[in-house]
Amino acid sequence: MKSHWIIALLSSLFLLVAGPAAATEVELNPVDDVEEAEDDDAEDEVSVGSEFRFGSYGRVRTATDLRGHTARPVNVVSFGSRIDERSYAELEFQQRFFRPEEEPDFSTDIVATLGFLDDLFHTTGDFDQSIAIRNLYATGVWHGQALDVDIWAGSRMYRGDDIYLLDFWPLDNINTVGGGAGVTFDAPVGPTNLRVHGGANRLDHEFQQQIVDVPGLEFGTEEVVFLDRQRLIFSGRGEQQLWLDDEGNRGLKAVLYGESHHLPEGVRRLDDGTTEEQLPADSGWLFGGQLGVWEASGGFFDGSFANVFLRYSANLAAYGELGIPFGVNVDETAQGASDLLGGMAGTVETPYGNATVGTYLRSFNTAYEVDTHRDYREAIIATRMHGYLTDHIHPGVEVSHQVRSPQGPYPETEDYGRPQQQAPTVTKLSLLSAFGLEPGAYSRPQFRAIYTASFLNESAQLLYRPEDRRRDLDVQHYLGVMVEWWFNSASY
Amino acid sequence: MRLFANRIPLVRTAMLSAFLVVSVALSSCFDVPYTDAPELSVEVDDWRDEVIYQIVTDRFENGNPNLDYRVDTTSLTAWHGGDWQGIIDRLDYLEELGVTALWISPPFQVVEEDAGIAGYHGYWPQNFVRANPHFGDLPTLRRLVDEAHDRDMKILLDVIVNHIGQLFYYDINLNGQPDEHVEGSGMVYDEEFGGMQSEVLRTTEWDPDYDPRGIQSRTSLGESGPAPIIWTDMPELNRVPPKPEVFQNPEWYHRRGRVVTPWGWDFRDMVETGDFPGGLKAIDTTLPEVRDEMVDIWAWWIEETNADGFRIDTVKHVEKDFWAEFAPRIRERLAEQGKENFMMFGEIFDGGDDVIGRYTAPGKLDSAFYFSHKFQVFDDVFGRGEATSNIETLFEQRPDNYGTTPQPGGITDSDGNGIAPVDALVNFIDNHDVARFLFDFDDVDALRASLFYLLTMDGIPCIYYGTEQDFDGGNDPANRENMWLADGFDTESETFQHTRRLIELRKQLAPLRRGDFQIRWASERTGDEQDAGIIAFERTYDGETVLVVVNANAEHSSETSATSLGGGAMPVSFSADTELVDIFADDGTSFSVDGSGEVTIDVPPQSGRILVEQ
Repeated sequence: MKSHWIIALLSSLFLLVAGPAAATEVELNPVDDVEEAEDDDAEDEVSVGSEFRFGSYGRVRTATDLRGHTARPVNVVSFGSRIDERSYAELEFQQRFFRPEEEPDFSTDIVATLGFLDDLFHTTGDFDQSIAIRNLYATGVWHGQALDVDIWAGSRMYRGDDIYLLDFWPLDNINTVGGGAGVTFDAPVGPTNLRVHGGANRLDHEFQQQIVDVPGLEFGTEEVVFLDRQRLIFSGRGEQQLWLDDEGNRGLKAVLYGESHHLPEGVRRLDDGTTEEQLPADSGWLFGGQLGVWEASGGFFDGSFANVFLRYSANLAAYGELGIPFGVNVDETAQGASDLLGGMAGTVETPYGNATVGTYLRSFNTAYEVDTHRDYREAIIATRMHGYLTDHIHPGVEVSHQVRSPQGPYPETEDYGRPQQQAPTVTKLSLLSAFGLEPGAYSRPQFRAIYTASFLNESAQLLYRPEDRRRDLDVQHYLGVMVEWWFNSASY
Repeated sequence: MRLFANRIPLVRTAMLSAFLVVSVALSSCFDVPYTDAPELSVEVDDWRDEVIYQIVTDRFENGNPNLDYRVDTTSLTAWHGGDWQGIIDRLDYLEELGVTALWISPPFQVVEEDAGIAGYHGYWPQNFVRANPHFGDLPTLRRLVDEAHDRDMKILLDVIVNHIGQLFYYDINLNGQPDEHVEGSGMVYDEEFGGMQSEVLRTTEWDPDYDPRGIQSRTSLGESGPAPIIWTDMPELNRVPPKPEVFQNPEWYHRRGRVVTPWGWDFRDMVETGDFPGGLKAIDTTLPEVRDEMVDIWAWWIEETNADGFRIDTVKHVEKDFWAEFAPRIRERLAEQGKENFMMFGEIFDGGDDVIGRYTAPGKLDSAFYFSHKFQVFDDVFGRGEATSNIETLFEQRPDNYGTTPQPGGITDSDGNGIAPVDALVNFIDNHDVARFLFDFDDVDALRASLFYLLTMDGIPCIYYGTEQDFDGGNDPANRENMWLADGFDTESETFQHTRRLIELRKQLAPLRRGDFQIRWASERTGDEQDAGIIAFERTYDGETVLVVVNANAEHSSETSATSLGGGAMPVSFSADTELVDIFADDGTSFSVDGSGEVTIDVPPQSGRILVEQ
């Protein structure tokens, strides 16, 4: 039922803003550039402009642990420092259509983004690649007199601000297939943006989908979709900016954000092939806020900003939209799970260098009422500082410390099963030589040579299985080179 | 080119300082709770006060669905998902039933599956010192013990020292893989070929027949010396080398192959050094270092959980001398930490009192699972209707077979006086290794009469889970029913109420728990005679006497008299003219002791009376 009122809302917004013009049927005649139709029926045809853009985010690295092995990320928290993270890239293709002469001004963008994991051919020798479609959607934007309205539909990374050093979006970050709408208008203190969204997923997991073989009509078997239950996700976001100058180069902003998750009941078949298990309906919600400040007025701290986040999610939403609930309660629902997170990201830019900070503190509890190692508190603080030796040479240092405190013992097998007495911690010290086109914490592309020493306490070492040789290492090294870039990206 | 200025911005210094302060603060705030071992405590006044309830943990209650790995509740040989949290969740039920001590499945991690059969029962050790992840983690077990103690219940852990699961095979043909051989053609004695014959021999390297020399390797050229053992590497089934790692020493195993059944059970050396059928590899418990490790492991489980006692598995498959070392060392080590009155009773699966009793000799175990009584009384008398004189005979022989002196440092009464094994035998009607009573005899009244006798006789009664719900499964695994799927927590069922009432009276009447045991009437008759099926006994404690009369006969009422056979009525210790009232019937039924100190008490078929002085 909720999807009905979302559709109604989107329709209303569409009619309110676009008015009769949007309802007029036109013949689209896309061309590469804006041009007038030349035939006698020019008055009946509409000129449409188009523009192609290629964008990308990427990082590629190679690194050694100085022991002859590939260096791997060392983390005990869910979102550790990205200093040693793996290669990843996105290739993004955008096509924009627009009608500049029309009032209100209208344009659409079609966005397709391919994501690639780090199994690069030149590393693995396998002529193969893990590829995901990270974006495949279209937007439409009306620039009106009093307000702008946009709609979108498709598959999308739908998200707000991140904590760069941790590669983590702490508040609004949904991977969704659906649609949404937004409206932006000028309040007396600065722009206001309101957004709603609805989407669904059906994860490829027996929690949501089960395909079983049944006898075919004559011979053999055929597949039957035995379980198929969608998770519906709705979100709403409101942002108010407070400009401290006329241009908005300095300002504050406040964001409120919420989600609701809904999963219907279902039935799945157990491994014995006959017994059916009832899967109860489930739901969850998330609510959070963000306060931000930025400075881009060209002064000493030009390019500086800070964001503070606070988020609480409950029940099904505590596991994230792509998460399969674990640690369920005795009803096998996620009711009772919670995730409380506070975080901060910020960068101070000066003419001499920059300093970036990322941190969060999180308490996660599964739905299962008794504390186990699946329930935990975790925290990380990381800071990276670069000095501008020249416009292009920016040596730096990064320091981070992370700790994870399980609320029950890890299922440790050594030392007579004695649970770990300490919370696992990792401290990383990194030296960076960065090279770029220009100064700036976020100036890209950026080439880096990195050395990182990760110091693990005994409890962190014990998180590795006994067969993993890293279990014996209280210091792990990382020496490598990498490059990171982004441009024209809809998601970064 | 713009050179870096020779000054450090204050903001960076401030941020670095803040970072260090926050880091230190976070680290100190993140200590892990829960990890301390409990302080050991004595929770038992007198083990004879207890009513043990045996739980197959996997089958009792599923309290934590997150532990449901490889679960298939449609198969009785698969994991079902029961766990320690489930037991915690059902403590109300157990408290209402009245049981006071819970014997739970072995706590350690086991082989997941072998030959299509799951290790749900817990008797296939792989890691002796890790909590079975199917059942929960160590804190949950601690919490089970704590919450049981809060209800004045005790926890008994199931102990194995005899074997590990099927974690290695004998590489008899030295080819590095487990094989099954078939040798010979089956040719019978043939004079044409010089009397040659070729017997068909089947050998499995997983579970070869016993060889007192140790399993020998063999090739086409003949024997090649002791067969090496090769550890399995099947992590998906947890069939990986045993833990602690000291158990990965081949010298720690007898390596003589499996007891040859059925005749092998008659040979003690084979029983004690042979692998247990099913490929459970026999540990060489004669080695001092093995004994040290076993003491460390099992004392550790108590030190980590504050559980109250051990039920010990496969006792007779372990060298007898082992127990004379293991039991005293466990008692001593735990007593030093405040855990006294710690009970250890053993499973000696044997019908012979002489075999069972030898493990209760001075310096060994506190008690034994009373198998001979199960076979000769519950099965023969209450199930098959044989004479109750069998009971009298069994009891007369008891002192000859079981330890009559308390174990040094062993279990005591509430005054600290030692209790001899002969007075603390663990009585049971059925358990997880035998078919349930109702499977063998299909007679609920006979079961209730058995419960009546079980809960009034001497020793420590032990009830197998589901008995109170009339479970009737046959032999393993049919006798390991799923309690929660069978709606097994009905507190209104007749057998539940019958059991609850008997336990309640046992708690009320100290003689039923601690009193001596004097048989006043037993009959050799099993037909329609006047006293057929009667067993009557007095139990006296601290000057108070209770008279119990049970009629095991299924056909008719019987009475404690043989006047129709030319005899008299039952003599009792009560004074003449004493009025004895049946407090179990609770309807005012009473009987008078006549002037000669005798009393005739009639009892309906398959029922009993508990009589006290009015």
